[in-house]
Amino acid sequence: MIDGIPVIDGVIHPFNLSESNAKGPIGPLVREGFYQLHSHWNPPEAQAPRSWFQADQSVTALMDTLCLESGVDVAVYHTLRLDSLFHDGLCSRAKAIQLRSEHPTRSFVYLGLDPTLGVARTLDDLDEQFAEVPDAIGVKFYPDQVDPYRTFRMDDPEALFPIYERVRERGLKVVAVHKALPNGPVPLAPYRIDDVEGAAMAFPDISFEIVHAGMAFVDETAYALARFPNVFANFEVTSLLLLKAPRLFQEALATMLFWGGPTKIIWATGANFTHPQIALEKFWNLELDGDLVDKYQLPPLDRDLKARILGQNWADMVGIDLGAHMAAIAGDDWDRRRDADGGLAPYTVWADRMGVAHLEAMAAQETATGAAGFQHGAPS
Amino acid sequence: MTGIDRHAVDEALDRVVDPCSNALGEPLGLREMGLTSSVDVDDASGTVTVTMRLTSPCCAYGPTMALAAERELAVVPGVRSATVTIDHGAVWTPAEILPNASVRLSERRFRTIAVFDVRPYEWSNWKSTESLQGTDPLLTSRLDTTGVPE
Repeated sequence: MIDGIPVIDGVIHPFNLSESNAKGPIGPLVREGFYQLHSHWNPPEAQAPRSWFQADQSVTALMDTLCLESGVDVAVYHTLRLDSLFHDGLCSRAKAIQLRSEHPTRSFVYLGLDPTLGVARTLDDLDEQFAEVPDAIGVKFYPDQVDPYRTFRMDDPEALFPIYERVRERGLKVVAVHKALPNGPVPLAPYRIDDVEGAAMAFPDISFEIVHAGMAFVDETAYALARFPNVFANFEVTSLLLLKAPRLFQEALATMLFWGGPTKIIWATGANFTHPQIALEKFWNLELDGDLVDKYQLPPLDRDLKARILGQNWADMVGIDLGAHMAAIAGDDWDRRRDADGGLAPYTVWADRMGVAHLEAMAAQETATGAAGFQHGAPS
Repeated sequence: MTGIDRHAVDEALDRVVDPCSNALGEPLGLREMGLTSSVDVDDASGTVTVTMRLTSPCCAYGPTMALAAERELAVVPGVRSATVTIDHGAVWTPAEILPNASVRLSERRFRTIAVFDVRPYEWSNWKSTESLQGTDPLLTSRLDTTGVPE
């Protein structure tokens, strides 16, 4: 919680960024790009050393980071199917199973699907993963794969609608799709959001979650939020703009609030892209600049509005009673450990597991590379 | 000796299209989009030096746009060398879009709004349960069937 408000991190990523997991010509580039994002967008004290980050990150270490070093109460794991870039897809099915098995009250899982494999294989895949994680709550897509390049539209009645029907049959609540941020030098069109609208219209009982909403196509995303009650904006990576370019974050947030209102935005950090507490604190202390308030005639970003974005909206989207859930986990082992430790510095617990002090590891890295590589905020 | 035509330099930069605006159906050039933070022309040496900023620090198209801009600048009469670099630390906001281009982009978006009848959220009394649930019947029905997972 942050100041008594429940926090759900709408996407977490214990990546497998080990060198051997990167695949083909583009996988290593994406692997390096992820570390560059982490190291350039986070302050030095909230960075993991390169050798930890570009490894097979553990579920346990990330849950420690989330539940002991941040205000996050519940985390949402997306199994990733970047199969043409990483051998295990980047965040594996095995980690989904581990998470639900070891942290059932503190996590939810989206199954990872690749519709470019065709309907039959995708349905089989969905059923296999659903058998492994029968309490999964949603599914996650990427809009393309490479080697060879292939893509799909979310509103394709033949290629996608049978998948949504199976999603519905299995009782899954939400379909999340990566948008706005192209994975390397690939065509941009599949990263637009217009195809989500057709899917949302045809399946009004399923929620559609635009992941990385606000990183591009902001206005179009905002219109979709306004038009479709079952379209939502997930702020994974977008939330990192609070660290790198806070004005850009404000503009995206204001635009979406103006059109879509208070119920359509979902907080997420994509940890370990960032340490989950850093962006959370920035958001909690955020006030919209006066010119944006004037332009969009928005109410203050007060406690109630932030509470919706930080947790209530995701809970409502998937039909979970957040108050009851929080009551059920209150005083559990995580709560006791967090209270006892009293606010640990970023990556303290991960460092303990690595058998080395975090700051020492960062200092050694800086000495080796001669670069810290961070700029706070937007230039004046 | 005649200098390098600045207008021709601008035209060369605008022959390279920002991919996001193109994807929206309103292609804008690099200069129109406000992606060129500085353009230095040296008539004596025939060099053009451009610094770019990206709409998003995550944009994967930056190097492609920079290379395309160098190719377009290289064919401007009088240019002997053109260098386009990206300032990854610089921040772009929509305010950087040139006024005429901004109008074109807005017109495109207004057409979208008109076609689909998009309306802003009504914020009055947004904190009342009735107001929130009234905006989303699906959400209301889901709230009636909630429960803590086992």
